[in-house]
Amino acid sequence: MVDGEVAPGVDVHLESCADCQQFLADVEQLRRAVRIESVGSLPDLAPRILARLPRSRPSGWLAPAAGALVGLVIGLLVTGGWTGPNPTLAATVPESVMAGQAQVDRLVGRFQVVERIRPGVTRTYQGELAFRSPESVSLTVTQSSGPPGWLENSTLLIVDDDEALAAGPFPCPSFDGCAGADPFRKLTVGRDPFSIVTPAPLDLVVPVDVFRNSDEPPALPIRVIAGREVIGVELTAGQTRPLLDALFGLGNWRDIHDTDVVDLWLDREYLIPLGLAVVAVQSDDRAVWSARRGYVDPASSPYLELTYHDVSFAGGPEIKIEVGAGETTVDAGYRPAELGEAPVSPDMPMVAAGRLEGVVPADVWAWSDGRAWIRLDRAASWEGPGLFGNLEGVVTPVTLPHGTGYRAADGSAIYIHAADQDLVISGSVDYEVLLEVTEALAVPGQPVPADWPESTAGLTEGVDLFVATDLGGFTPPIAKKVGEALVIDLVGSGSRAARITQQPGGFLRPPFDPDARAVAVRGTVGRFSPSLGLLEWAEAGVVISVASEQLSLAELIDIADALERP
Amino acid sequence: MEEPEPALIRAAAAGDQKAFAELVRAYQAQVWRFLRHLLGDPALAEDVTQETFIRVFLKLRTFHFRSKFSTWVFSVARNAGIDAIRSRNRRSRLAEGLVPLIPTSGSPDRGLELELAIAALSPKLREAFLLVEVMGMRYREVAGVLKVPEGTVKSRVFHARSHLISWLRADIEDADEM
Repeated sequence: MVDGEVAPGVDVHLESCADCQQFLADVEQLRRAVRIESVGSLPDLAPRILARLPRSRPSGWLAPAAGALVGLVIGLLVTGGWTGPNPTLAATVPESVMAGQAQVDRLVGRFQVVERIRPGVTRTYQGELAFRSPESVSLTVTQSSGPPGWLENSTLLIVDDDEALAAGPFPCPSFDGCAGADPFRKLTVGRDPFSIVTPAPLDLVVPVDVFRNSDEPPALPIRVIAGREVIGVELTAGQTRPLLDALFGLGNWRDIHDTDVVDLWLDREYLIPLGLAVVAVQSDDRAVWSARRGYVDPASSPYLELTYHDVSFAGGPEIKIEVGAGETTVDAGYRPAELGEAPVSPDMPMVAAGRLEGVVPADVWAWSDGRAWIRLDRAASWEGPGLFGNLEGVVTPVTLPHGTGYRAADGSAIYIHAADQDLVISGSVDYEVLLEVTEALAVPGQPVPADWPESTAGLTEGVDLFVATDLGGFTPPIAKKVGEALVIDLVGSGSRAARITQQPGGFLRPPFDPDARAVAVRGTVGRFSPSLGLLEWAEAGVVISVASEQLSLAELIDIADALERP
Repeated sequence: MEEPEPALIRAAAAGDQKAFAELVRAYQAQVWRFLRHLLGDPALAEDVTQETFIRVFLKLRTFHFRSKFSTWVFSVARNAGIDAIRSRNRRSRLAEGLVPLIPTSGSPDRGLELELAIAALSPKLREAFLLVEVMGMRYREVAGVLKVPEGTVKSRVFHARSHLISWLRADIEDADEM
């Protein structure tokens, strides 16, 4: 009412409620007091600001621009002094990571990892990472100390274009069990370029998936690691998950809670992660989570740390990466082949062309520059259901000059369904670049058939349910109907995501989680199940749930508060 | 707040410094005013205003007209302000958001008390209140600046107003008793 936005029924209430009348009068008085203030005068800051701007401006996104942007970052020693936090640099990290990925052609480094489970129970490791563009990576992590009687937690992951070797301990559900169980050693041949099934741990080289769609992270003090200046940013484990999985995906590591704080230090010039520290967040739910696992995680010191002790990028001997023998072998079905001219030419060298035998055969092309890559898949005989290549399911339609396409929620792929072919355009680059490549293909994409899961036909019929308007920290919400339920997916940076489900109903079914408890949400009593990250309540004949493994209860409630009836 | 012409924004994004200077001049006073209240320190606010526009310059090519330009500029300003608060808190090792700041503006007594009261709010409440009350933004715009849901903005403004009203009422009662 004060702000010109009147909720229905308020004026009627006001006529009879003295307290509210008083509050309204107080707010008006407050407003008058605030508005009458001596502002003081500000000189024109424009000349000073212009004087501080660097001379060159990035104009595109590939090699020339990346060099300019990197130069810009180096040139920006303006605030924060030499050792203090540099918020300007930290604020530009997400864009710098996306723009600078073409700059890193090679990397060789050695690091140490410390893993703390509880006081007196610690494991340490020595690691080595080698990377050679386009897609040769060798990651070895060797345990150097730990409690006796536990399976050795040493791992190996080597990817060399179309071959990959993964080796590690028997996947044991407890630290001190599975005595005598043999380690595994699995070889994959016929691996497709930039495969999402057997991914190369490229986020350890430049953490693109961590910073795609990211907000500006808070800054930490600048440090020196392995003789390199590093910028520090503060993230959550949920956001850093692509990098954590790259490092801890193989092996029997302790768990990391998605709301825990991750301090990440990136090489100032090339934005390569050279240091990482995970610190437990303090909350009741998190305490239950760690008690269940037997962890004791202090509030102020990291329970997991990675630190490089030497690293080199340019120059040096050629990096040789060889995949050895495995005990089991899997053929992923890709073979290089002569495909003729590619249907499109992104501004990057082509590094692979071949055929992938999956459910249907597909032609695959890949281009790469440094750590950056783009891939095109084309299938001629795909019949559905579902968009060809869409494993994640959360897409939104986009209008293209030549028809319709579908954009993956995080902007890392575009799907086209046309009369005679189905395409996937994917890559590590900005969505805008993928869009340019898609438009250059000029394939007349059609809307998917109504019975495919990505179809948005009939979505708004009978929707008398709640919709989420733009939510901060997430790409625009994507809605779909699943039976009677309306499902809205929210995708954030890293692996942050939430799903809102609504269906007609008046009450909640019995909980699965023994620790489920009542919480206040939207003026009613709802229920939170901490082990599922699930918030549920019933309102106006609809049962609504907001579920996420990466968000805290407070964040789930924020999302709940954002729902509105259209 | 008037929106600049898209052509001006595009020119500035392409590196036209004259166009960028025009954008700075269009927003610098409001950004400074907001930061002055947020930080409680006009000199620091001036530094952070400069910082804001340098960030705007660097990020300009990522502005895709999906929101109002003013909303976007204020969200950059707000982040720069919060960063400044955080680094000041880290240095002084006080709990985040509980630093009562002594404003140095030469406002009359009543105004000074109000400034103190605003400064005593937690940053989350303070920034929501400033954007609605001082900058006159609608809840939806503020939601875009702060990157939180609209409902959260309403709730924070309500709490900020309640705190300020209690603070000021207690003040009046003290004054009456004297």
